[in-house]
Amino acid sequence: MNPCTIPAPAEDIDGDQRWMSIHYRFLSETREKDPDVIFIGDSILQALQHTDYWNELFAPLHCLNFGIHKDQIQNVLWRIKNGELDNVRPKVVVLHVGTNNYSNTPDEMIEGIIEIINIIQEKHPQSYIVIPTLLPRGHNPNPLRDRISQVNEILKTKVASLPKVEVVVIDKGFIHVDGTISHHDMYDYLLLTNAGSKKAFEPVHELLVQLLNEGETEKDLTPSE
Amino acid sequence: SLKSANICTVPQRKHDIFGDNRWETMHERYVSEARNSEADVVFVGDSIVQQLQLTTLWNEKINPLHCLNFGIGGDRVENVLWRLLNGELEFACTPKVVVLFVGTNNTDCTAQQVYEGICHLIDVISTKLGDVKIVLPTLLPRGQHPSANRERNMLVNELCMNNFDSVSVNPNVHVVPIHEDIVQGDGTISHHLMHDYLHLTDEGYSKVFGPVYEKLAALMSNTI
Ligand SMILES: [Ca+2]
Repeated sequence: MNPCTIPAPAEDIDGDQRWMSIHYRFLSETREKDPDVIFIGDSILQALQHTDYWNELFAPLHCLNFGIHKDQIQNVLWRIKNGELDNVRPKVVVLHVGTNNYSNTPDEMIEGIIEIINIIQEKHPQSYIVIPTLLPRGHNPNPLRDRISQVNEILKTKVASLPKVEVVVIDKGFIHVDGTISHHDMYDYLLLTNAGSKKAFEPVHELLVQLLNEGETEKDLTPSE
Repeated sequence: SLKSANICTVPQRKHDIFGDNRWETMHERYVSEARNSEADVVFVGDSIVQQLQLTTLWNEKINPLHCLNFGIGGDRVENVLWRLLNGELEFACTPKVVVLFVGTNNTDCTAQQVYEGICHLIDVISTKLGDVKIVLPTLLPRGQHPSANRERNMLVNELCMNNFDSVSVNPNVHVVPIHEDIVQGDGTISHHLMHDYLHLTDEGYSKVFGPVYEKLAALMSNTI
């Protein structure tokens, strides 16, 4: 069996149930708020929420951020199967997960990501799913970075061809000619700085604005028939 | 003796489970930053130290004191010990203050073990940097609800506050209590302060690390 397709809560290694506390908080947010956009995924998204860039550009679009540091594909799958996309009607769901699946093959990761897409589409057939490509990681080239770029190739072809799924390339411009990634973009060679967030997520912001406006235009046209 | 060794006092590299060598390359960067340093204040420790440099408090108040930040996410006492023994204290120009903040990730250790590890780190810093001042913010509570982790961190804090309070132990050590006023009346911690019940929000940093900045500013004005 592919572990990426089997929903699983994150293991509570530290013994203080933080992951489950965060999940319950997300559930309560779905009951209290009416987001137009929900970001769901891993460390990259969680860290994005704590940048100036998020506050200036994403928060005003009525976004909620359900990112959890270190989450793997199967953890996000579990969270979605356990209510994090219930009681909401998002126009767009932004999904970024996979970078933490260090022991899985690209095919296993893709299968897991597609499983997540299927579950989202069952719950919200009208919503767009936006998938930013996975970001490279590590100061120097490494095997995990290679697998991530293989996942991205499949995202850009097979996954991008699915209906109502938009894949956005965000991984350009981080790897320098000598193969290194700068700590000015990713302070720990994984998580984005403010400058890195802007570089990566600007195209995601542009697409969101476009998708959200597209809905408005349709509404505007209806009465004038 | 049958007494088992305390893992907190045995220098340890971080095991690279992801295979991307991030820990080693961060360490190498810090070693080279130390070699070229003209900083007055150096922060060493875990993710809470590392993420401090992304905050308003850091940008507006702390960094203008001429700081370096040698924090690494997930680091335990023994990882910081390894780093300090392997080049991160080889400064071009000795700093005036080291801020040491580590221990919350030693979730499988006792409070006594973590405390002994911190004492060991202080000895290493004092041996390598002579009369440098060491600022020791207390460990923060964690988890939305009460837990054994929280209790351990608070016990470590008691040990530090009681033992370093006496000037005879090491007059250069300044414990700064920052753990109070985080847990609410009902025993919970708010995500407005700690977004994942471990790491501080920007607002949380201003509130919780404010006293660390005040202490640094006071120490710096005395040394000039
Ligand atoms: Ca709702």
